[in-house]
Amino acid sequence: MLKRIGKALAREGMRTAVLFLLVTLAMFVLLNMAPGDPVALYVNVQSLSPQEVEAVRHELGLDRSLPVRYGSWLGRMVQGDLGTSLRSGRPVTVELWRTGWRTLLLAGSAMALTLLFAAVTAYLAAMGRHPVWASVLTAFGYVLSGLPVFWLGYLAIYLATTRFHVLPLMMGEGAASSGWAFFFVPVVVLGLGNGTVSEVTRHLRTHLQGVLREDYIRTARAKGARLWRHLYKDGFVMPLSSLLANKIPYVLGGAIVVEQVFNWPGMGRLTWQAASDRDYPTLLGVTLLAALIVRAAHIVKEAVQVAVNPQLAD
Amino acid sequence: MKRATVTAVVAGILALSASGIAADRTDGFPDGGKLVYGEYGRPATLDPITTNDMVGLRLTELLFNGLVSFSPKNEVVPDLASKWSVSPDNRVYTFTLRSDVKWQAKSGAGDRMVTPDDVVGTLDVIRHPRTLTPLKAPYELVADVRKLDAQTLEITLKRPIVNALGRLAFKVVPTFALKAPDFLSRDDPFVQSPVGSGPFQLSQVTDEGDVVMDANPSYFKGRPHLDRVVLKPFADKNVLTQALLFNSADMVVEVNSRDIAQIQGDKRFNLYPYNALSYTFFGHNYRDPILAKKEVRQAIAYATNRQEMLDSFYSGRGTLISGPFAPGSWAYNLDVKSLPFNPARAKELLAQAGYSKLGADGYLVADEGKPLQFTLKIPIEKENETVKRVALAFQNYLKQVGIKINLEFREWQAWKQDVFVDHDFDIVIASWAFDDSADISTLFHSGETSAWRNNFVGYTNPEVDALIVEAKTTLDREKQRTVNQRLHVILAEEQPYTFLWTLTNYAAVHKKVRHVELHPFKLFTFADTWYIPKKEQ
Repeated sequence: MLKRIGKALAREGMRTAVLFLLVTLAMFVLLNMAPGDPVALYVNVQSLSPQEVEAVRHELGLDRSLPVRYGSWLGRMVQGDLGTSLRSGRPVTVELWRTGWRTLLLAGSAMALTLLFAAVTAYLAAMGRHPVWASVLTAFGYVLSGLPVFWLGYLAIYLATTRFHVLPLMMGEGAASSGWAFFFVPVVVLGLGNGTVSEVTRHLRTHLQGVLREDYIRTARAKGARLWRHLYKDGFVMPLSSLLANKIPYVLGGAIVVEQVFNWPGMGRLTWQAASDRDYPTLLGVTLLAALIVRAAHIVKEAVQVAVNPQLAD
Repeated sequence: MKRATVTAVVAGILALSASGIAADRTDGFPDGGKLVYGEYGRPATLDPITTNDMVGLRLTELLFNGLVSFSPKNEVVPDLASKWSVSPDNRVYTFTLRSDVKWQAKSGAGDRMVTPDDVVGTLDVIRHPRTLTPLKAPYELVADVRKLDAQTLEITLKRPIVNALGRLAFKVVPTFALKAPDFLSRDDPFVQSPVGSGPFQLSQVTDEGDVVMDANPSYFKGRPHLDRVVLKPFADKNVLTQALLFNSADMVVEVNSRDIAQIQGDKRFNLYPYNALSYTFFGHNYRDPILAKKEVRQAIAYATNRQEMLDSFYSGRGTLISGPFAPGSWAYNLDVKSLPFNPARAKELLAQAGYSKLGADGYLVADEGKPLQFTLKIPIEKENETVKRVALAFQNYLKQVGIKINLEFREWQAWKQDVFVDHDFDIVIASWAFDDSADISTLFHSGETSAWRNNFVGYTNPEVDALIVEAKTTLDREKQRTVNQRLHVILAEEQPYTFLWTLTNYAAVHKKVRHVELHPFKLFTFADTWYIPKKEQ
């Protein structure tokens, strides 16, 4: 058993390493193909002679060839050093830590909300006992999913502040921040907007309906047993864990927009800024962390599914 | 939008010093209170040397001082230097420093005073090859700097220039506090936690990116009235206005143009107009044989209803311009009238240029039966909603006279690559921001047309070249003005740009803050005298 787990871990580890290599390499190449370079962060390029610009590039190490730069980045990355941000001069690991937990908080809460909403709606719809509620919730989810997330963000800000005066707008010094309130609106926007909720609901409902038609459920019903006990593993845990893992990239992507709109100082804003500055160490760091999160979610999903159904391990 | 330079170099009068200001503030206004100001975007660095954006430029006004500073009327006034003298050949400037200026207490340097060594050190750091700073080019004019004695120093220029004093307003940093004493790089902790001599000292930068500054109790002009000033960065201009309206900020440095009316109607705020020396234009690529024809460029100007755009997209908050200087500039020629909106004249000019036959698609026919068409490249940078509308309106105006405009939106850095390096565009929309030297030499001199140079439109005219050189080399301000006005006449006629407008910017400040005076673009130069009445703190 231990040997099997070890083998599985080794296999996943290899896959992850290859994934990281490919993802960062792709990012690096794309960044360098894009026009513009980070020199503009430091000086006004137009006011310098080409030799002076070259001197700046040399100082930043940008004059080395691409393979050399990628190789040296990779070498240090393996030792846990992601380099320093070209924009702020701070280590990229510090920047990621500073912003990453906020993004995880936002994305994690949003996903929890998505799943909660989807699970309730799908359950009601599949069981068919409260058709009105089920239809209302489904319709609500579809409409929200159909709206662009940035627009929904503005709408939510408008409603929450201008119309109802219920929420402060942003966190931090000088804001009338009252604990969890500032947190609520962006989570709702990202959780229910962003196009994921309708998809998750639909998937879950279909899956649940399928499970409900299974023989063992009919047997359970006939016995008068509590349906939930028989339903939750196949009906919820299995589809939810795979949906969760699949949707993480979308939620992280949506977080970039939501953070921008809500002035949420997370990784999304860091990414946005780094992309416009061509701050490639930061971008590579973000890419790596995002890949890590996606990969970790995948592994957790596998583990959960194997725990539920050991047959899947083979 | 494009900024030619963010370095603040402002002209002034070469007046000799006024007496120093007493260390105790005797204006009788109360101390206390906090001002939170919203900026669009966060500063990358907080020191005056490596910073390369307007956010940082404004921030360093609060934290640092220069040898000289500026009055609200933009005259050069003493700051760290109490007096100065100029050699007869206008090359050597001798400054005497005040003897009562201390570095802020948090430097860990005890009671260190600001000395000539710091000034010399700062200029050396700026000019050091390992320091990456936008100040390098402006301070190439310095040939030598040296300390004379404990209180005086001497700066020698490579050649005499007009307004030299205004250009020596760089902020002085305590070079002893740098990691490496002779240069400054971004991995030096100083760039994120700088120490200055200014009215406010950095307290902390929060995880949210707020820059918190507290009053410097031993500021040499007297403790500033406000206890605390906080820079609050925002990623979205729309949210910035909301933050002001919902009391998350007391001040917004530049109000989004479409929110001005709303803030104007709100009794809690005052709006302060300020004119940045900048203007917006359509630039025409002379490398395109059709745009190289003067009639075509003039026709484009006649066909464009600039007043209508200014009125509808910016609520008329700005001034139409007729030539290559900002209207607030001393070089602007008021006798040159901006070309009126006149589509009929535009069609005449196009006919003169050989384009009079309309094709089936409603556009004039150019060579080989193709429609007369140009690509307008528009940079996407930050909030560009209004620029988009201007581009669409422009497209529509030119359609009326038979010119087809294809819009191409490009990411900011990609746009710069296309325009400045590859010169791959027909028409661009852009803005220049100037310092007060009104120096347009890099924009229109024929020697400035290669990659990364500012004359990206490829304009060449020997007469203009000669005038530009004359304006640059003369030391006679009146002659400089005459030459610039002549340049204005020629460029207004030639229309290398369709000159559009200068916009009036507005800062919004909560009414509780009194005695607010703003420097035209550094804004916070006089913030030490701002105050909040006791009962409103």
